[in-house]
Amino acid sequence: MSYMLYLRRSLLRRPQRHLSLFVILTCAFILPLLISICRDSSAYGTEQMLLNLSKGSAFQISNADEADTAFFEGINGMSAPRYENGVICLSILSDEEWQDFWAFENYSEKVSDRIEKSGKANLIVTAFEYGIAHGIPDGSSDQSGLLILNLFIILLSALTVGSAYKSHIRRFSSDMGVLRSMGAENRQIFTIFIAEFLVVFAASALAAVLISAGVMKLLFATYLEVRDSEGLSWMIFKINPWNTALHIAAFFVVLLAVIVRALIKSSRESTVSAIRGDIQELEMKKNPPKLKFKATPEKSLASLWLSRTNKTHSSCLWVAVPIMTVFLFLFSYLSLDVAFISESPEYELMFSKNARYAGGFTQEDIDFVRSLPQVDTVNCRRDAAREIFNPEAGGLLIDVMDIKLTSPELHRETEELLLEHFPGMEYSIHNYQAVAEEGQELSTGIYLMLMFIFSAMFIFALIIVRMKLRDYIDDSRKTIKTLWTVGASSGAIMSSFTRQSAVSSVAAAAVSAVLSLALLLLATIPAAVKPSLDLPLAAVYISISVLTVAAFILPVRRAVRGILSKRSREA
Amino acid sequence: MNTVEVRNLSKVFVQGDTEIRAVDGVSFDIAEGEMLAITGQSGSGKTTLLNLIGGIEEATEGEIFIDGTDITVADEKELALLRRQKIGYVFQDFNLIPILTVEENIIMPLLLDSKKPDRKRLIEIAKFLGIENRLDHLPSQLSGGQKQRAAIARALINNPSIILADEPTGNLDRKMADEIMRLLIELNKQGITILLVTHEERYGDMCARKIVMSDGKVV
Repeated sequence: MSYMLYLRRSLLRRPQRHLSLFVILTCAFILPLLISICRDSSAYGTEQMLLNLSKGSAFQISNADEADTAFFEGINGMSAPRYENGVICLSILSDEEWQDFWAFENYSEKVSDRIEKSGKANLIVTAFEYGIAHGIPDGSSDQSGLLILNLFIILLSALTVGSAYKSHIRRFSSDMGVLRSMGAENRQIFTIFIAEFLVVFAASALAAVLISAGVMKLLFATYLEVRDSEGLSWMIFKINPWNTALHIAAFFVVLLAVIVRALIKSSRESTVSAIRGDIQELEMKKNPPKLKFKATPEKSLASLWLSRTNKTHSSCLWVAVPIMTVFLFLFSYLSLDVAFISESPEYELMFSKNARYAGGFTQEDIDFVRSLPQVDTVNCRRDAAREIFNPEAGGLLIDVMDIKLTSPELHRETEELLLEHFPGMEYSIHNYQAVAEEGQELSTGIYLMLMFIFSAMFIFALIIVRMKLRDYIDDSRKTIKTLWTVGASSGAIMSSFTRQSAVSSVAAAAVSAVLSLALLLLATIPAAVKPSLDLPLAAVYISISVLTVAAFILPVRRAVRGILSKRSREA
Repeated sequence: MNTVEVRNLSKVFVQGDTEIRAVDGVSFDIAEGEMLAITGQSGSGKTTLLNLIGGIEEATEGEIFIDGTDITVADEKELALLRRQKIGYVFQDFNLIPILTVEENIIMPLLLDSKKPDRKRLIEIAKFLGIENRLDHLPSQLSGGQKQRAAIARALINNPSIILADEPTGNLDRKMADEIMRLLIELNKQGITILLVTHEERYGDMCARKIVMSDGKVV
């Protein structure tokens, strides 16, 4: 048996406090973990998309027959040709050569020579760089952007949790004082509270990982998974344990620093003050501002509380404003994203033909498309573009038919019909309508994910604000009782406390809304998108503001009512 | 031999621009096995003086020797050790840890000192104080008198050189207060040095020696 007995008893006999911390920490972990899972899934999806596209090869020769493989046998330094559904794949055996620009160019020339020697003009070659063929995306700006965002969220969450932890430690200052009077060293008190933190942290991290992974797996299985799509980035559910561990470790380090700082601060407090545990007395300003008389006693009292005991309310603002701002920003930004990807296209299909290698569309091709009964209008154009996967290989020249259908639902059957009539690899169809439909399906998943994020963040903020405000009212117990004894009505006391909560809550709601809109404007500048505050978005802003106001006022009303009714019963 | 020696001790609190000398140049000794009462009106500096001797408040000036060690120059670790091994504290409002049972509260100083609790001694103390049937109870399940007995048991468990009792009868009714005083006198008869702070002259008169404080000074 050791002095850690205190911790065991504290966990078992004051479970509500520790449970609140557990919920706060679990909710705090959820958003960074969700972003981490999205990052991992996006990275894995991109890898799979590149592997699917390149089939792991350096060169793909399209429009080929199996017999054409003979033309590509025995190229020095290259693999034997592999035939797959009209495509011949070739790889460079040496990774170093594949990654070397000039060696790669040399192999490209060798493949082109073989095509020329084959005399088959319809063979089209596509080259893939080493990274693409191995599923390594070229630029990873999105990924690093998300990582920076996540580290910022972790820092913010950890500081917010740290503020809750400070309140938690404050509640135990009396026990700390008593332990010190019995001869406990600061080291022993630190050990107790850091061990408590480790227990709660471990349980919360585990719970958060299980909840986030479970919810995201479900959302991916139902809505969020994107694969075999031409128009959208691939997203396939994946959790990288190292990334998850990194996020938890970052959280741990920041939080531990905040907690150690709070413990050091509390250790500097005199033992006598700590035993007395009168937190308001300890935190009172030495030279308080003078009492200002207002029109009613309630207003005078509210102004008095606000001028003398406003630390709790300002710390509640520091908790609520960043959390609500981050959520409102995420919501409005993702709403814009959803609106963009699920917007109905002007033309349902884009039908194209490689003009450089295959000579472009003939009048006969165009007439055939126009003659289809489901085709409403066809817009023909010639487009020059760089090859996406082999930018060094020179420009592409393509003939394009933008097709508008009489009814958007006919896009699949029209696509199949066109592919059947134009079977060669020089033809390509981009189905805008299918992408928009995928986007619409994806949007349900995104909104469900936002609801989940909001629940976690709101519970996170709610419990911290509730904990702080209830502690504040608890610390004001003596004041409330005295006021009641000297004749203040219950209504006046209640109103004086709810009034200052109302001021803080309106400030929290307003500042969060303004900051999130400012962030949205900043974030949309690079994409040249103009955000607009439409009715559903405005409804979300108003609902969240109402919830924020309720989160500030209800705990105060309940706690004050509890003290007043107890006082009435005693009287 | 003196258990406690206080030399020219002062404690100044600063509130805004005002300096309050809660203890002002106090000197006295407490011999081993003595029971000394410090009395005086509210605000006279009695509790501050006791807290200074107990090492839970820092002196502004002067020296305090406990068993020959000057605690005014001791660091946090030495002070903690002193409180664990040489001082037993009894507070007016008991200061039992609410989540620990009576037994756990009593043995906590031993656990902080990495000592294995001696069950026989625990029962012996509990029997002497009449709380042997309350050891498994939480403080919230005890009466005021029982809480104070538990606090005295906690102060005794480490065989301290001195027991510092700050208004130990202040929160009790007359009958219970008399009972606690009887127990303290009994402990003193067994050889334990006791420093009692009280504002009640009656209890001060029960002690072998009494000093009276006023405005931070011994009068």
